[in-house]
Amino acid sequence: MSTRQFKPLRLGRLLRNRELGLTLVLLALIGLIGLRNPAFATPGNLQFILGDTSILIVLALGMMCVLLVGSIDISVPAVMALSAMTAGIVMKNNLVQADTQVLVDGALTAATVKTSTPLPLLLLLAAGVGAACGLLNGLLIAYGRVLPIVATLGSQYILYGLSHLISGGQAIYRKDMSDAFIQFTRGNVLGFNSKVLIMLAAFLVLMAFINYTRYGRRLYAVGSNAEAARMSGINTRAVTLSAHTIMGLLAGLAGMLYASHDNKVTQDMAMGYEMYVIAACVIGGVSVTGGVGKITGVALGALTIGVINNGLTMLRLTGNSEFWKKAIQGAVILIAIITNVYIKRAHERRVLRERRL
Amino acid sequence: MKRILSLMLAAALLLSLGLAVSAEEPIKIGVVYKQTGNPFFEAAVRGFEEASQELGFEFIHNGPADSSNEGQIQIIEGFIQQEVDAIAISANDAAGVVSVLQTAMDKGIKVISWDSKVLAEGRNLNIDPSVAQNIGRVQVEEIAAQIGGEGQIAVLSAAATHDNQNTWIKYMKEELEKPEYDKIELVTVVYGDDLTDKSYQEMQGLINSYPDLKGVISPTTVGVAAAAVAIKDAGLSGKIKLTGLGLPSEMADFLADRTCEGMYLWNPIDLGYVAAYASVAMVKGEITGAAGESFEAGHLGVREISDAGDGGTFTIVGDPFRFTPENIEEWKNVY
Repeated sequence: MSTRQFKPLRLGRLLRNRELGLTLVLLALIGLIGLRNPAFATPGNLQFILGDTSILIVLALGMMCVLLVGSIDISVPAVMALSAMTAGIVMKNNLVQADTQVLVDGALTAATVKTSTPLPLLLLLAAGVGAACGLLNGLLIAYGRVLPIVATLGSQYILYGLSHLISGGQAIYRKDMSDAFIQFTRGNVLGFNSKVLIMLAAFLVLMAFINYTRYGRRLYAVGSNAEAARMSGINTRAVTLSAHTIMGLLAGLAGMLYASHDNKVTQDMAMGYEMYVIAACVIGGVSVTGGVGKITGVALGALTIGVINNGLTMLRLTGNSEFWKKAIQGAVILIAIITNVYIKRAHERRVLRERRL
Repeated sequence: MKRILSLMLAAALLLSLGLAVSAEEPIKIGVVYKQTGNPFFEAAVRGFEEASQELGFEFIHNGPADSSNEGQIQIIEGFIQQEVDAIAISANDAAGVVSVLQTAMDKGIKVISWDSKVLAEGRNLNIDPSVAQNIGRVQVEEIAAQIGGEGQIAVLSAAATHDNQNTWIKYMKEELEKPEYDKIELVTVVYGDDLTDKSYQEMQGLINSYPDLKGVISPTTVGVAAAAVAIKDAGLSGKIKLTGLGLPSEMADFLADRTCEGMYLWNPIDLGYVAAYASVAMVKGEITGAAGESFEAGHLGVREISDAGDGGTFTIVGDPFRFTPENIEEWKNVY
């Protein structure tokens, strides 16, 4: 923050803002892909990408908290699966089907209405299961002193196993879902998909929490220098524990979004998704060693991944080769990170130069 | 020295005891499938159960959680240790399990692959769900009927490396060359990797990139379900027709609301049932797995073994079954 007292060049001022740099990369990507396939840059498709990326953003927000305290959580998809499976089984067991008539184009048409446990209760249940998983991770890491990556690798297997156990190998399909749950991610309010609104709510709450509360600042303090934080009276273990619990809670919620979107809950749901979540944070400028990162950066990082994924699908320039698709995906992520690092270094050099003057 | 001698004696005693017992034990079959928790294989195991009640053999079943080749190798090694008489496997990698299965065959264990084959050198017999050509053909016939014989269609497949997918798509293309399909244009084949999210995105991409798209064939259970969700979400149910190979339980609602008006799949229960009967016939020495032989598959009747064209032999379970909005009610809770 000490850089505020200097007056850098106008271009430098633009470049020193990491989030702005990322926004430019994002816009350039949208423009380039849009040039190749005009169907990509339509408001409809961009809105679709935003909706599609919402789940990733929700998860990346939680991951940011965990990374800020210098920890990591790779059990995220397993937490999603267990939370959604628990709520899904409750929903399936309480499902009631009724044949009724609805108005379609002014005419009464036969339709089946499916109701079950109220959606808010299911969401609460999933969030609760998720938070419990997060708490477990946090306890292992903060109080059990297990290396975060090892602890969450272990819990990933345990939690996937648990969701297999409670489901008895049976997946939850659309026929087992209530209409309210299927519509959960398909509703529209003021032209925005409900996924986007939920993501925005989570974003605003976490932004307030991280940027404007003393507790939020403690996340940064613990991650940048745990020893100093402890000396200044911060209960670093409690902070780490809470970061993991938040991650778990958001993963539980995201699991429900994912399940509603896919019309499906399987025991191996979202396997491998943790890498996208971590990549979103890293692209967004969060340091994996803790203490550094901004919430807007994380959202932009997730959006970059969303644009790349959708763009590669729309471009089809790689033909049918999965290898090239993945290679391009990786390359763009690397370029984004390198660009970020370069901007940061240039900024640091400039600051040093200015200090000398 | 005495100790070693007595140990050796004890070992010999145990061994002879084991041999004596195993002679009276019922036939034991080890069933390996691609993935635990996959409803398709849960249903196939029910077929083994049915057959075991009729024939009185024992079976143990297992699959890796992550549908990996490595996981299957470990399971097979475990089965060899447990001295099963036959191994019936749906392979994640046709070549990857060959060497461990050869070890099993060297120990006198019979190897039958089913659903997804093992290369000829690693098996005694392969059980195909259906003739690949028919699987390709019926899906083309179905989509052609649904779109009224004219317009653009696309294929949403699993992965470009899946042998069964590529074979079916090859036969689809051959079928499409017939003159009655002149007005149908296959615009592209895309791959969703059997991941719901990716398949959904690919379907979304097809909708955006081909505004005139009339129909989609997705010969994979994951793909066809994801495509149904994407088509319904886009409000295009009935405008873009959909067929493929789908699980009735997963597709039930989409057939009921006519997002998909007809799709196919073989009965996984029958698949397990035939594989079980083949395994037992082979263990009993009634068949060796050579072309020209035949065996009785319980209530499904006689199955002929023929040359598979890959250096090995195979037999089939039956024709793919057509699921429609009319018959889905009775199947949706079966598998």
